[in-house]
This record gives sequence, C-alpha cells and structure tokens, in this order.
Amino acid sequence: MPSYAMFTRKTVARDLAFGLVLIVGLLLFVFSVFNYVLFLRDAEAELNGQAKDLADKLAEVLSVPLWNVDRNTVVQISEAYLQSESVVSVQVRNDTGELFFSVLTEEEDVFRQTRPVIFDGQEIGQVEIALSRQNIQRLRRTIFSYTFGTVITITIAVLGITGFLLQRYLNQPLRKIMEGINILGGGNYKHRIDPIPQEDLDAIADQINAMAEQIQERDAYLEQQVTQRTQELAQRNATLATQNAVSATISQSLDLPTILHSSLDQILKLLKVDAGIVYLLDEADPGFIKIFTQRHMSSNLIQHISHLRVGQGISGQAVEQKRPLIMRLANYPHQDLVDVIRQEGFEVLISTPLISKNQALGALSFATKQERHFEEHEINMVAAIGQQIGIAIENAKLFEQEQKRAVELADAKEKAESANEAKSRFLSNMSHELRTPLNAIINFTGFVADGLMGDVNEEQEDALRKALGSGEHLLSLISDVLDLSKIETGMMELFLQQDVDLNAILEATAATAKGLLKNKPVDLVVEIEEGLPRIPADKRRLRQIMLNLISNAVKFTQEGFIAIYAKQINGFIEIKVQDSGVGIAAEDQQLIFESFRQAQNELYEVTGTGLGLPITKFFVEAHGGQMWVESEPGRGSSFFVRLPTAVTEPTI
Amino acid sequence: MNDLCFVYVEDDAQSREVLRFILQRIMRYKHVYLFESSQDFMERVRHLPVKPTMFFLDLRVRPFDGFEMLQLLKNDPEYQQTIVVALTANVMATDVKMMQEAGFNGLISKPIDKNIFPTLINQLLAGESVWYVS
Repeated sequence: MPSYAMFTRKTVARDLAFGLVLIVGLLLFVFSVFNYVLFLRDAEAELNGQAKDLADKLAEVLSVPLWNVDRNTVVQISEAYLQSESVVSVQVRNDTGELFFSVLTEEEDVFRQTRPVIFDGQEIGQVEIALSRQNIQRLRRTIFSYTFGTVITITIAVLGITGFLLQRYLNQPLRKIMEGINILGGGNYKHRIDPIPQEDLDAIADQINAMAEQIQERDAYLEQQVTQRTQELAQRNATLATQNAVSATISQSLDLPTILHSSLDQILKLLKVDAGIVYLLDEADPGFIKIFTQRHMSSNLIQHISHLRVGQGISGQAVEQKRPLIMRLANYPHQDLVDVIRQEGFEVLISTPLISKNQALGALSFATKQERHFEEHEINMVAAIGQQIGIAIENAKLFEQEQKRAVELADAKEKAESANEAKSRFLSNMSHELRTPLNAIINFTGFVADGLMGDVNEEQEDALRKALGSGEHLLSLISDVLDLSKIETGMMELFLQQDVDLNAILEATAATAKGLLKNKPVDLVVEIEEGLPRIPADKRRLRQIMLNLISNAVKFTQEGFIAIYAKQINGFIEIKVQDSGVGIAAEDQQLIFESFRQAQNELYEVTGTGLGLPITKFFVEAHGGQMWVESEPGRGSSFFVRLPTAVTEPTI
Repeated sequence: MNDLCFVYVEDDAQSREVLRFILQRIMRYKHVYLFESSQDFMERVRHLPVKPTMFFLDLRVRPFDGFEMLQLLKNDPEYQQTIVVALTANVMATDVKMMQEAGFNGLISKPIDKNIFPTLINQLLAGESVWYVS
C-alpha cells in the first residue's frame, strides 16, 4: 500500500501523482460538465416539443366539442390530457372567455403553451396547457450525482494506482539508494546498494557503489599508511627515547665509564643487536684504538680485536673516516679478522665514531647474527649518540683538568692564605710587642711630666714633653706601617657604627689644629655647615683621616691660613681642608696617594713615612667615599673628602 | 667608693704598672690587684680580701685567655654579675662582635690613653657598656 506519508512529504512521487490526478480530474470534469449541459438541453427541448404537441392536439380535439358547447366532452378530454406525463395544468375557455375547464397548478417552473381553438377557420376559444419541469430537475440531479461520482471515483482510483506505481517503481528504489548512501555516509564503505530493476536508477546506484569502492580503497590505503607511519613513529620514538636516555646519562654524569657503559647497554637494547664494543683512542699508542668495554663477545674475539690500528676493521675505519659505517661480514676489510668474527656468527656490523670538535676519539660498534637492514633513523641515532659521547669524553676530560686545576688552585690559595695569615699574625704580634713598651714609655713620661710623681722644673718638663712627643710620633709611625700592612694583606676592616657625629670629630680636629699652629703665623678658619647628618662610619678611622689631613696642612704651611670646611652635597658630606702652603705640582698629585711616596719638596724639611695619604685614601674609599686634591705649587693645596651619608658599598 | 676593687690580668709588667698608676694615683682607688698570668685564676679571685667590682682581662694571657676567664667567671654565681672588660691591642671589627656575644661588658683597646681611661671606667661603673677602640 502506498504510504500516507508519500502525500504529505514533498517528494517527486507526490508531485507526479498529484500532477497526474490533476490532469485526469480536470479532463473528466470538463467532459462531464459538457455532457451534462448537452443532456439537459436535449431534455428541455424534448419537454418543450411535447408541450407544443399536446397543446396542438388539445386545440384540435376540442374544436368540435367547444363549438357544440359540449361541456362534458371538453371536461373528459381535458382530464384525459391532464393524465399525460408531466401535464400539471389545463385551461379551456370559449371566445367570450368563459371557462369550460380549469385545473391550475402552483408550480411555477413549468412550460406553458397556449393555442387558439379553431373551428371552420374561426377562433372559437383558447386552450392553455402546462407541463412540469420537475422531471427534468430530477433527471439533472441524477445525472449530476452520477457524473461527479464517476469523476471522483476515477480520480481516486488514478491517485491510488499512480501512488502505488510510484511507490513501487520510484520511491522504493530511491529509498534503497538513500539508505545505501546513509550507510556509506555513516562510514561503512563496505556496503553496496543492491541492483535496481529500473535502469536509470540502477545507474545512480552503480555510480554510488563505484564511489564507495573508491573510498574503501582510499581508506584502506590511508589506513595502511597510518599503520606504517605509526610503526615508524613508534620506532622513531624508541630511538629518540634511547637517544634521550643516553643524553640524560651523558648530561647527568661526568664520569666517563658510566656514560660509556650505559650508552652501550641502551643502544644494544634498542637496536636489538647481539654484541657491542666501545673503543677509545689509545693514548699510550697514537694511531691505535683500544677496547674500553664490550658486551656479549667471546674472549677469543676480544683478544683479536682489543687493539686495532686506526683504519683497521670496521671500527678502525669509522675512526679514520669519521662517519658511521655498515657492512656485511663478506665485505669486511681485513681478511685476517674475518674468520674470528665468523666464528661468533656475526653477519652485519655497524660502527660509528665518537666525535668531538671534528676529532674521532673512539668508536661505538655493534654486530648482529641475523641478516638485517638498519633503518636510516637508526643509523642517524647511533651517529648522534656517537657525537654526544664524543662531546661527553671531551667534557669529562675538561672536567678532570678543571678539577685538577681547582685542586691546584685550592692548594695555592691555601698556601697563600696561610702565608697571609702568618704575616698577619706576625704583624699583630709586632703591633702588640712594639706598642706595649712604647705605651709604657709614653704613659710614664706623661705621669712624670704631669708632676704626678713629684715636682719637675720647667727645663725637665720641657725635656719630658719632647720625649713624649717623639714617643707619640714613633707610635703613629708604627701604627701607619701596621695599617698599611693590614691594608695590603687585605686584613684591614672597618669598625662601622651608625649615627657617627661628624661635628664632634671636626671640632676635635680643629682643636688639634689650633694646638699645632700655636707657634706659627698661620690663621685657622673653620666653616662647618649647620645640621650635618650623622653618618655610618668607623669613628677611629674618621679621626685618623682628619688628623692626617690637618697634620699635613700644618706640616707644609709656614704662613698664611689653614681652613676646614664641611657641607652636605647630594647624599655626601664634603670636607675640604685648604692651606696656603707650598702646594703640589700637577705631576705629583697622583703620586702622593701611592705608598711610600712623598712629593719631592726641597724647600722644606719634611718628616714622615709618606704613608699617611695612601692610608687616608684607603679609609675614605672603604667608607664608600672619594678623596682627591686640587693644588698649585706656591699657592697651596685643597684636599677633598666625600663621605656618603648612608651605607654604601666601599668604592675600593 | 673606696671599697671598689679592680683586678687586671696582664702578662706585660709595664702595662700592669700603667693601669695601677692610673687607678691608684690618678683615680685614687685603693684595691687594685694585678695578676701576671691566669694560672689558678678563680682560686686567686676567691682568695682576694675584697670582692672584685671590675675585671680587666687581657685577651692573650696564658694558660687561660680572656674569653676562657670570662667563661670561668660567668660559671660562678658569685661573679656572674661582676663587670668584665676586655683589654687588648690590635682589635678588629669581628673581634668586637665576638666579645659582645661572649658577654663582655666592654672593651678598651691598648695602648691605654690616660686622658680618656678614667671617663671610660666611670661609664662602666654606671652600668653602661663601653666599646672603645682608639
């Protein structure tokens, strides 16, 4: 049965069926209407004719009785006519209009015929007869129902048959094709559409089957490709993994034996080869390679191949040619070794040089008992590992050298340090040993000079003061020498304190300067800016710095002035000690900061070690500060010291 | 104030005499005891007629150095609170830190400056710690 869905879905079958039905229905309809109209016209004409005939005949048969005024006969005849089919009304009147007979009807849809009644050429009355059209109406209805019944029946029949045919010969095959395509579209390319009786549809099915075939073939090809690629990838991954493992070993270890053993084992496992050997250049015997380690080789074989000339055997050749080599035993370059190797059952040999900086440092070789083909990536891997091991050998050597050097350096450093320490201990002892008795001399001289041990006269006191002055001078010289020694051995440290009050130190310095200038025609100027911040400093060294500058100024200035200035400049305190003394020549201005130098100055007798300025400069720089001099011979000198107001790195 | 008692352990005779002179002749303290070495140190301390108020320890004395003597004193409840001052020549910054950590109350570097020493003693007696490096 045709499916109902066939008519609701917009399909070729539906459109065909509906088209066909429309045409057939339309034709039938036109034909029926035509037929119907003709038929009705005939029936009408016939009824009309019948009415005329009856009217004519009635007029004729009533001429005599109407002439004779025979009422009975008129009535009888009229009633007889009234009995005729379809006659519903008869009226008869004479020429005066008197009614002789009258049966009227209420029907309106009638054929009416009126005739004059003629007797002897003279009109003597009039008859009127009316025929009902009811029969025609009935007939029309009958014909109508019949005709349209037929049209509808035929239409439905045509629709049904068409549907059935389309369903069977178009829809079903199409559905089959659709299902086939669906199955193929779902990925089942093995599916084929069964043959279809209709040639044209079958051609489509054939094409689809051919397409599926092609897809299936391509699928199979691709699948094969993928399988192949996957296999290759897996192999390559294994290769890479080995290479990585070897690399990891190499990078994790600087120990050459570990690297070589582990690399050998890993490659043996990956390449599935039967035996392996590592050679290194024989350092004792240049031009030869020597076995380092091997796997799965008989002692007999090892005996023969443990020491090879470069160029001898596959390993020797790999070293010579600096490239990986593969060869069958049949092609082995040295006949004397072939028999020994054959005894082991080896068929194929592969060897790669261990290369670093384009130098072959050894070889890595393998052997298989079965005939086999080495893939390019396998050879590449072996070659790459050969290079990595080459680099590792180089690194290990460097590392060894480096370690040796480090040990030597450590030794040297230790020696230097212990020498330094000895020196420093000696200096420290010297400091103690020299200064302790000197200190006693100074102190006791001071006690006596101060009158603490009985009265002293002026002359005695003067002598004692001179002794005291010399003692103190000697003490400062010793201190200078010790300080410089400490600086040069790197033992000098600052005893830094936060918040050191520079004002107090500057005032003490000014006071000292005043004392020193007591007997000289030199004016002292002191200008210290208000509100100088406290700074991080070693108080004792700061005092030392200032005393040095002041005593230098006093030493070299015989008349004029000495000035001490201090002010704050961008994170620094700048101290300037200016004098109107002899000055320093430009070429000497650097020299004065060097140890044991003192500017050549013949004009004045000067005393001192010449260590004061270098030590002072060191302390300034150890504080993170700067020191320099500006001077002109004959016009005096200005020494500048800048000290940071916050903790900074030393500038030395 | 004349009950105050000072002990100075020092192997250099001249230094001992300088300190004694300052303490007794300039500062007028009566009880000044000088030890030439640290032999039987605690024994001798305990037998002193007056309990010491302040110790001056030279750091390089034998057989016990200054740090060891400090430890001996700290271990004896009797002397735990006594003022202990290190006296040494040639001080380094790191030494000072070590001394502070060891528990010294102060440091006076040698040579002793007779002009400053009395001030430092008074500061120490007042309970301050003094780290004086000349």
